[in-house]
Amino acid sequence: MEELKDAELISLALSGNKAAFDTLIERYYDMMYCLAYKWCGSKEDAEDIAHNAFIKIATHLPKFKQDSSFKTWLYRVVVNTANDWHRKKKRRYLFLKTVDSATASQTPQEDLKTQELLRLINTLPEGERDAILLVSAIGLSHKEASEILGCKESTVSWRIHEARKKLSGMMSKEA
Amino acid sequence: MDETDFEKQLKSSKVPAASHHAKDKTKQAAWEALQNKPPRSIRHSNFAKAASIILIAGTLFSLLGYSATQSTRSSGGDAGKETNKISSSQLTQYPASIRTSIVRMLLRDIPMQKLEFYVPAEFEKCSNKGNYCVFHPQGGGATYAKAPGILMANGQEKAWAYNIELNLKEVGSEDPDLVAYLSGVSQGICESINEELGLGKPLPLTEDQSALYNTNWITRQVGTKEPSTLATNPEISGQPFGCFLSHDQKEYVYYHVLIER
Repeated sequence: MEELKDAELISLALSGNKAAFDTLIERYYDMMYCLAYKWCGSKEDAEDIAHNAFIKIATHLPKFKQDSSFKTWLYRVVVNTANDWHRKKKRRYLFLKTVDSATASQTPQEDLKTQELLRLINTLPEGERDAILLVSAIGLSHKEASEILGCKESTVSWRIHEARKKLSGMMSKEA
Repeated sequence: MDETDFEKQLKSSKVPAASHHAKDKTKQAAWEALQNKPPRSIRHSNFAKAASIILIAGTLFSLLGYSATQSTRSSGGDAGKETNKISSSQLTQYPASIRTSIVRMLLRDIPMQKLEFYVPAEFEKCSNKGNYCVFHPQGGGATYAKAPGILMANGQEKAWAYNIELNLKEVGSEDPDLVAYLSGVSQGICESINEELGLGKPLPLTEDQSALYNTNWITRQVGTKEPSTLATNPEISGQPFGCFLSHDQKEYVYYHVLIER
């Protein structure tokens, strides 16, 4: 199964082959989980986001057009699910601790710096947050990020520019 | 554009590995979601809209109650656990509202064994012009709602099962109790509920009684069958609501005693 391409695995999964579907999840779970983690900073929440994203993917898989990139679609679903998660959190309780320090496997000092950084990023407008995380935390190009976010490449560049400016301002204010 | 220091830090920050259990759970739930793809007719979507409105109203009511009682709560704590606590309050409040409706019906001298749990789409089956139906406006007037997907392990909404098949140990006498069951609840929520009750993690039943607790509404004629007792761990004895794990350890089940006997 592992040597099969995404499109082949999707076709098999849609015809009822669970092993093919499991292989597909196995292939992308860690990527999706890591992406979710960068959005929420908590292992437990990242697992929940990845879980919900895969359920959405499974539900909409029959409608997936094979001519578009499966990976780009996965990224988009995780970003949307993570943003839903953020909106729900904001609605439910305002004093949310966004980062789970107990689970990050860094030195305490690095951990604190990352927590603080993620906290600041989470105060940015949604579009800027998505752009900076996809490009700076995940390492995608502006073009790849624009495909995931469904906007122009120049919009991504502008949002990153704005995000950097705001983050630098916030960090110098707090220093 | 040059990469700033904080972007370098962001890129190099480590991510803890996801648990195998979480991945396995996701595989199973996603597979089930892939299998459940019924074509939706307009009528279904209208019903879904109506059900959603009821659920949203119920959720808002639950959250309002929760925020009112927890307004002095401290801001610290783990986000996932907090979410589970909020979700668990949604889970426990719905059957509590059903219980209130049933108690009102019993006060009107409606015998418990005559209670009916027909859903709104089946109201024509209700006896005595709806007077015995818990969800009928003429009966209990309770709001019918399925449990929302956020409470469930597979993310799909699910109907509660109401029945009088099992006796809960040390709850009332040894007769079967009228209980609302919801199987397939997410592990985090079930653990959160039991934790709040001061119980340990939900333990598996010692025998498979899924056919009994998944049976919807009252099928037992009260007093005509030998009562079965929920084969659960001693810790849960005397608890009118809480969670247990199914005998095959595949799903978490929330139970809520509506009327103890």
